[in-house]
Amino acid sequence: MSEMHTMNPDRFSELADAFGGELSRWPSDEQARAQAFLSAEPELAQALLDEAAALDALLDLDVTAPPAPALYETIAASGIRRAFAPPRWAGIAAAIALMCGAGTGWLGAQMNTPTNHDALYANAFSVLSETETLFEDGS
Amino acid sequence: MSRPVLKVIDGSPRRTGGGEEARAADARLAEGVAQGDAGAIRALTQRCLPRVHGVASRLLGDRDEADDVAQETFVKVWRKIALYDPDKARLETWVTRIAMNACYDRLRKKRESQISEDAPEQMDGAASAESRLTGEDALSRVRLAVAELPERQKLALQLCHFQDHTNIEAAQIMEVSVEALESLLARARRALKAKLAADRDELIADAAGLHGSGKEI
Repeated sequence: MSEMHTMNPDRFSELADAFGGELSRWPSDEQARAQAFLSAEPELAQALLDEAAALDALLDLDVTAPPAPALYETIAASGIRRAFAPPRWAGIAAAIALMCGAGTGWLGAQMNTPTNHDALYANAFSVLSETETLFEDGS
Repeated sequence: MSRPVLKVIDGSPRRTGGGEEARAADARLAEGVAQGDAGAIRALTQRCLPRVHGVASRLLGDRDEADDVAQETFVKVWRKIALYDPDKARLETWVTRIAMNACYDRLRKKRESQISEDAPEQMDGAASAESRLTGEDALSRVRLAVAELPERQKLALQLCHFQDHTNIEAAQIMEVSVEALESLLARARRALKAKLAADRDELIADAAGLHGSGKEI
């Protein structure tokens, strides 16, 4: 926030130099005092305002052209598209989940397969040996 | 003195200080944009694009580049809208600051590439584009004088004179104190007065003619 200034010819001139010839465009906290100064010293104050207004009029020649209507459409469409697109992290999360799944599967296979295989192998031969024994006995 | 051209182009009324109602409206709009509401996205674009484009045109001096910066700015806005804090700044102040930073980035890159190519150093990137103007008519002379101002003075003028931001809003966008803003504005206007003083009467007559004929600039 600006510091409080006393309104005098110097301050009035500074404000006109910076903000131009329309009091309504001056800082809101100084407008009332500027208006009071204008009423008290109309000749001096009005001369300062007129000089600033002359420059305002020249500057108003150089207003930039507004953006093309197509640019509004392009920009709004980019925002709407983005709103309906899946978030960027969704793809990364899917990739991580896939990798975790594949890794867990592979680890599981590494840990379980030999044990099951050994058990099946042993079981198969144990049945065979029992059959052979029974046959040798002649029963 | 009335300024009809600005009102038509800018489309938004001059604000007199914000307040709780404006803060709440900004918060609602930002929330709508964050939730992907198409109406809110269109409303924000409608409200802020003229300011963003105006700042970019003024700083870069090139309409195509201003279009690019506007698109770049809004991509950032869509991405960062959840970070907007209505207690700290008005929505257009926040958006305009993003645009200002995008313009400064471009101007810095231009300067770096000019230096690396051993081209003659210029005071202002935008001035090069504007210097092509011949200065034959009032508009060209004024435009050239404004384009040749240092960047920060030009931005202060754009925000306060051409876009009707209050001194507090403009200072927030530029991240300077209100006193520094006032100083930038005063220096800009004094420089312009000095440059245009010689032909002032003729220029004012031309300006009156242009305004009187309703010619769109």
